[in-house]
Amino acid sequence: MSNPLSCGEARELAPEVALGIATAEDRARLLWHVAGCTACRNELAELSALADDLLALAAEHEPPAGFESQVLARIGHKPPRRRWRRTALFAAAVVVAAVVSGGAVYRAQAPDRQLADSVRATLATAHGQYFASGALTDGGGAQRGVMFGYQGNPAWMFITVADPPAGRYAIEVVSHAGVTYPLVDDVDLAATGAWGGIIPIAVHDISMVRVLDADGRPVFVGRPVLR
Amino acid sequence: MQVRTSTVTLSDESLLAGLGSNDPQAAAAFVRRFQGRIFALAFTVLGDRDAARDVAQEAFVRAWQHAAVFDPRRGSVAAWLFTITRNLALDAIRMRRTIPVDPGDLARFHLGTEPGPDTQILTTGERTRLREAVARLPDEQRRCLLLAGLYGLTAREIGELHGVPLGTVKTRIRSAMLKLRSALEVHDE
Repeated sequence: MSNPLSCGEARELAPEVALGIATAEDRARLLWHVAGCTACRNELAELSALADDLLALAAEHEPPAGFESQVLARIGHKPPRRRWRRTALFAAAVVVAAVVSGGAVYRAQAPDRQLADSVRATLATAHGQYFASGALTDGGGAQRGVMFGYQGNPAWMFITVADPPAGRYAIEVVSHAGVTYPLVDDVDLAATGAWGGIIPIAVHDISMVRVLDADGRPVFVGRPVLR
Repeated sequence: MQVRTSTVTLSDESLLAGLGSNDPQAAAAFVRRFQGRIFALAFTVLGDRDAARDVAQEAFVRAWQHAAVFDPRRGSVAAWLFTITRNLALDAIRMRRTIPVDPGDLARFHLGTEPGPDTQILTTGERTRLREAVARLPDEQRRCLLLAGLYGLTAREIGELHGVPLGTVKTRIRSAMLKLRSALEVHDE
């Protein structure tokens, strides 16, 4: 790299690089400098964050009517019909996101290595070890929802159920040893469409997840499969 | 054994991942969470509601297309999305070869006066302090900063626009940035 910058020169240049208006050459020179200079690297990081902040200052304006629907149509979705389902499935998206950590990787058919790295990074954020998931089925064997388990610190579980009958439900897990662990009772799944919480046993110890109706009868069951 | 129910909090990163994995509910949540600010930024830069709508919509499409490559180590989802929006708006401006508004007026007429939601970029308090600090900047510094920060004009282009030497523009930008940073730092202490 010719003409290496002094710290003084680097700091003169940092605002323009942070704002994204520096020439490619100046940007390269600064990045070369900050690679070996902690103080200037911190200065650049602070100014870059400030440049981001400026973009967030614009006054909020309501977009034109239909904006959301138009965006969703462009990416192949219809607007959600009911708010509670949206809430539930947003939550499911958290877990789906955690499992695949950017499923667009699949869409783009990027290398599996990239996906694996992403999953490892996701797990690492909460000291996680692995995921589990499984279908929740009704008495007729039809899938009615999905369960996800996360073995981390703490371990937790999240379930979604589509259009369950109105009523109050309890959720429990049964270990491979046959011990039942109640997770929650008196939850209105018809309103929320989902439940999530910390679980008292390791995910790999779970044999079965059961959703019980108000009379204690299993209405949806599922078995987690480790991922 | 009874356990306490926890509430699942949906972070921007989680919603973005859901958007990228084609979850329609996550996509709707993501759009709803950011649409006001993204449209506002596009409108601030472009000064035209129709153009701002097009740019804002395209920003969400780009976010969907590139969600898998978002790297949280390099910044927040909000900052990433704002940057996409700004760049798209600048492309639109370059197509028109016009600067639609006088950036010297931006602090008064376009920068938000309402507290606004936390965006993971700025808390409500930081947003207020930063907005006030921008408003306190000398006009020439504010103009240079906003032309650079919002419109992406280089120091040379700003100098030519206003007929001032390149070095003067660079000094104004740097002075403005340092004043804004100081305004935020004072309250961090």
